[in-house]
Amino acid sequence: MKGAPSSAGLALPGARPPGRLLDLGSCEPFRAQAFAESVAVAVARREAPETLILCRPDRPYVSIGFHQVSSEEIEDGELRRRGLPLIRRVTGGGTTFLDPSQVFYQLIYRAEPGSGLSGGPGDFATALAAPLALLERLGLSAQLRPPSDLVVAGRKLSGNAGGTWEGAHLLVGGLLGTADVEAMAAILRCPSRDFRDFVQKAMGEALTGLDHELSHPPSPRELSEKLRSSFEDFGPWRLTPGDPERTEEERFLTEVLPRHRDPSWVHLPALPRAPSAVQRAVRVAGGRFCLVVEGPGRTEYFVLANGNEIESAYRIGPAGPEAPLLASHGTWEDLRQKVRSWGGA
Amino acid sequence: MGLTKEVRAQVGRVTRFRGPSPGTFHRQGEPLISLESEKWVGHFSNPLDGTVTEVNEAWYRDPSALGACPLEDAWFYRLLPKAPLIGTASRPRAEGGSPEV
Repeated sequence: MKGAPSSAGLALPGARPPGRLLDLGSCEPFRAQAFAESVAVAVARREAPETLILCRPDRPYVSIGFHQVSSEEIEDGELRRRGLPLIRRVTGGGTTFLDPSQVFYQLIYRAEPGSGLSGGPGDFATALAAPLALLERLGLSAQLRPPSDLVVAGRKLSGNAGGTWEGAHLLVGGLLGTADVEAMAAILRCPSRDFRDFVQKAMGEALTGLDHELSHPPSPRELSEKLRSSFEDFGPWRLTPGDPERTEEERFLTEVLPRHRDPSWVHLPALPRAPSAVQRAVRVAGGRFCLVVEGPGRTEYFVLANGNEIESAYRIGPAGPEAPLLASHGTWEDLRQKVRSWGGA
Repeated sequence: MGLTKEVRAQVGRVTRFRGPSPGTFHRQGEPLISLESEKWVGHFSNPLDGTVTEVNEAWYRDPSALGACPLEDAWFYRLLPKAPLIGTASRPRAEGGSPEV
């Protein structure tokens, strides 16, 4: 086994336990997103070994995090106009737009001793050593930005999420061939055209794709093969290629797929909300959010916040966003003082 | 129903929660509780057939405040089992139901 990439700083397991590689290739969105849930049952019951799935979607679709409410997050009309399926995944995180330029990796495991995986957010560092090493092999200076993003020059190129399902652990993610920020912003529920433009601009600054970073980016098929090689070298298991078991295929068709197509699964009811000045929050990447905040006199403000830091803020006038409220990055208190100084605006 | 101290230590800071609705009946093994922490979702299954009688609404209001609390404060829901628990002390109920867990 080769050494870990120098900049990764990630621990590699020593003697690795065996694992199965399922290369599903290019497949329809529900299979690309959710076949792992059928495998999870088999892995939890010890009917299948711990498994790495590699695949890529054959057409675009949208996925929301398990706890997200589609009616609050998604612009239904735009989804229909573009013919995009909506899939609510069992793992965490925010809304994602997926397309055939992306390559997915999905680890399904019981957290056996020796793999370096224990079943929890701490697994991101171990599991992401392989995609991180691949980005470095492609000549990119990539880093893990905790908890689970891989970034190149501060811009996210890979999003990852995890969870437990049916007694197994799942860790899933993908590499962005193209960061289609127009489509990403278009499918999000936004209260105005101006806010959608604000979100799209923020996404353009926070996300990147291999086509932007490399003069000769690999095709999705080539990328998948390189990813496979990287998981063989840096992944948590000694991989043996295999095929899905008949029971995994049957379970996917009879249980997983019907559940994902059931509107009561996709569309969770909204929860009651405490009154808040924040009218809408859109996660851009990492801890960075675009917010619509209602100030005194029902004046609206667009805020780009990264954790507790305000990166930019605008008052929204009749003609749209006005001049920036803050000359440089500031705090919420800086913004409050600025709003007060506008004479109660 | 709630998490043991050991599991709570693993979960970390909880940012989102979903639980069952009071009055609903659920089978053993059904995933009823989900917690999200650092883009990781933990799904927890119902340990017994039974009817949910009460849900701890505090989890919806501020899940991050409850992650480190003891079980007395951070319980998820109360369940009326379908059948009496064998080997568990039970107290008679006026309506002739099962003990509350």
